[in-house]
Amino acid sequence: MFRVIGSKTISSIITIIGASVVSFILLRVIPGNPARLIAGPLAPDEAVEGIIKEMGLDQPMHIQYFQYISDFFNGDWGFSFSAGQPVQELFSKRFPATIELALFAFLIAISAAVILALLATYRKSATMDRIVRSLSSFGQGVPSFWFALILLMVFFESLQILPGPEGRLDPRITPPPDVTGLYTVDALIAGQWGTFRDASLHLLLPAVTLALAPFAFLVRMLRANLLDVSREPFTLVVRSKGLSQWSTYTRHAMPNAILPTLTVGGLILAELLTGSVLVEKIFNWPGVGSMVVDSFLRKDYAVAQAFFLLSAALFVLVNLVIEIMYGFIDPRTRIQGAEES
Amino acid sequence: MMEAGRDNVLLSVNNLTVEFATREGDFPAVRDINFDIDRSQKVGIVGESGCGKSVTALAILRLIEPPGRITSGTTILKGRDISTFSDREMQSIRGKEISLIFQDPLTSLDPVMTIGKQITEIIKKHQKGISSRDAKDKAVELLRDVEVPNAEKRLGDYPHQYSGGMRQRVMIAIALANDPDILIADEPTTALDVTTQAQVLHILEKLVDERQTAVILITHNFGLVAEFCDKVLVMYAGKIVEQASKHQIFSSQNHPYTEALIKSVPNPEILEAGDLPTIPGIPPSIVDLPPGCAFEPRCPLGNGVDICKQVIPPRVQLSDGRSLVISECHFAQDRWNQKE
Repeated sequence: MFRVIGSKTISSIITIIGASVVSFILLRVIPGNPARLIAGPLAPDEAVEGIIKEMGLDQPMHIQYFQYISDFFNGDWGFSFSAGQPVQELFSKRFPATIELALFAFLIAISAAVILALLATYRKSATMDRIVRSLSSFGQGVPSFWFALILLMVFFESLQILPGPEGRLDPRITPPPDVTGLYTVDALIAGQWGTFRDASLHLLLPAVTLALAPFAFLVRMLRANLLDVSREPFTLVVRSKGLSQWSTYTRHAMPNAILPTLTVGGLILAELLTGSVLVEKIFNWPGVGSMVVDSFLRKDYAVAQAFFLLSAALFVLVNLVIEIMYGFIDPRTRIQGAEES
Repeated sequence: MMEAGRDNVLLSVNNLTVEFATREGDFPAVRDINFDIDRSQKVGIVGESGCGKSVTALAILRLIEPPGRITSGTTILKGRDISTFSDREMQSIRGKEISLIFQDPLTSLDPVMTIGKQITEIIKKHQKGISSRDAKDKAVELLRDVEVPNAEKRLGDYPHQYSGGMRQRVMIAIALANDPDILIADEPTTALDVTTQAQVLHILEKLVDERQTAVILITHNFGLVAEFCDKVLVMYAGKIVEQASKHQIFSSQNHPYTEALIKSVPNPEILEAGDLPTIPGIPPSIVDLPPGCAFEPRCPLGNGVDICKQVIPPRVQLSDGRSLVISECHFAQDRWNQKE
């Protein structure tokens, strides 16, 4: 078991190193001299030379690469000249907002998918099944920016029960003391119920928007899995033992149906965690996604490079966690692991 | 009416009909069948694939899934009409008073739950308030009963770590966990290889004899019936065409179908001499049953006979004073008289 985890960890590290090489090369092959970009078009050549020396751009490539890696681990992710701040500071300010939104959206997508997949299959009602399948098609087909605008029109403009696109909190409320960076959690820790409520309400619309596509995908998959499992003879055996249909579903059908969605679930979470440009833009959410796009538009490649490496690491990490979890949850893969070691 | 007397009757199935809804209408998979099972009696249900054997078993437990449904019939278990029970009441019957073993042990167990949990699940369901420790001890005892080696250690294993024969032993352990009155075994050894079949059958026989459990053995193997059963029901196209004691069935076949079935049991002595005897033709589909006797097109006696073509044969009760044969064939009485 541990040997399997070890070998998977090593292969993950190799993948991340590969990603770092790509992100390093990417920046070197982009046309334009970064020193010239920093110094400005009117700066004298000596000044540019100075910057090149200072940045180590006259060193051989491999030395530059190791410098880049060691800087990265020391927290020096480069300097964003468009924001006038070190990239690392930018990210630590922006990431909590994206994480909070991503976790919320993930939770909504998973729970809605489980509940609706159950509704679609449990009573074997054709109408219910049709409704759930239509919802899934809707979720997969609708563009998120359109859905976000509709939600805003209904819940903010017409009904006025949810806040508009003003970011994470009402501007009149001061953020809770920083512990985790997630406003809802921090507000709970500080016992500020009003702030918690406001932060949750602000989360709701962007989270629902973000959750729609993953929900649509997951519910389709879960529904199909549940139908497959309930056709398996063992569910009839469980019923013949005297268990109710509900117990048969919750104890036997659901665990069997959810297992194959784990991998997809992990990838969805990783994707959500790297931020969504459109949703963050529409709701003025101060997350990573909108920052990265802005930096691209301003040719501020230091931010893009850090983002590239970070999201690659994130995907690899989530995959690793999922694979290890799989080993613990699914007895079939667990045994294969045990036999290998 | 039956020679054993009514007091001894454990389960009585009367006028049971199960229909399956299709786009073209409702079609009967089981048609108006009647039979009794006495305490600790072993009854074999024999017939070709698709004749309604498994549907009968599931109908007794009321586990017929749509589009199938029970359209008529009563099921009396120990004097109670369980066909009027709600699903909740049926849950207390299933796995407690009537248990089921399925044909394919490879797909009968939940792949992601340990064997131990799948055994204790049925114990905990029906023995309210039993502690987890006691349930586990009981599970170990059951695994020992079905001769699974290293029972204690293998409780934590998953189904894929068991071989087919071992899994079928686990199924027997689960089915017998609450000492049911009746065990329905639906082709329990068909999916196993021949040596494993014999072992599993031996264990099953030993355990039901110890516990005095009545057994309904569903099979298409007359050899198994000869070895195992006291009474035989022969099914054809959803009907019980003949029922009698094992002795009667093998000594004096009254129904031409029973006769043909027994003749097609491979016999090594005859086999060397020529072809394997078969029944020509195939059973009729339930969506296209002939108006008269369903066996008429394949029957060596009745093929082409008007009454067989047009009239469904009535139930004829034939008795020689000691035992009773119930046969649904137009020729039953004549053939019986000839033998007398």
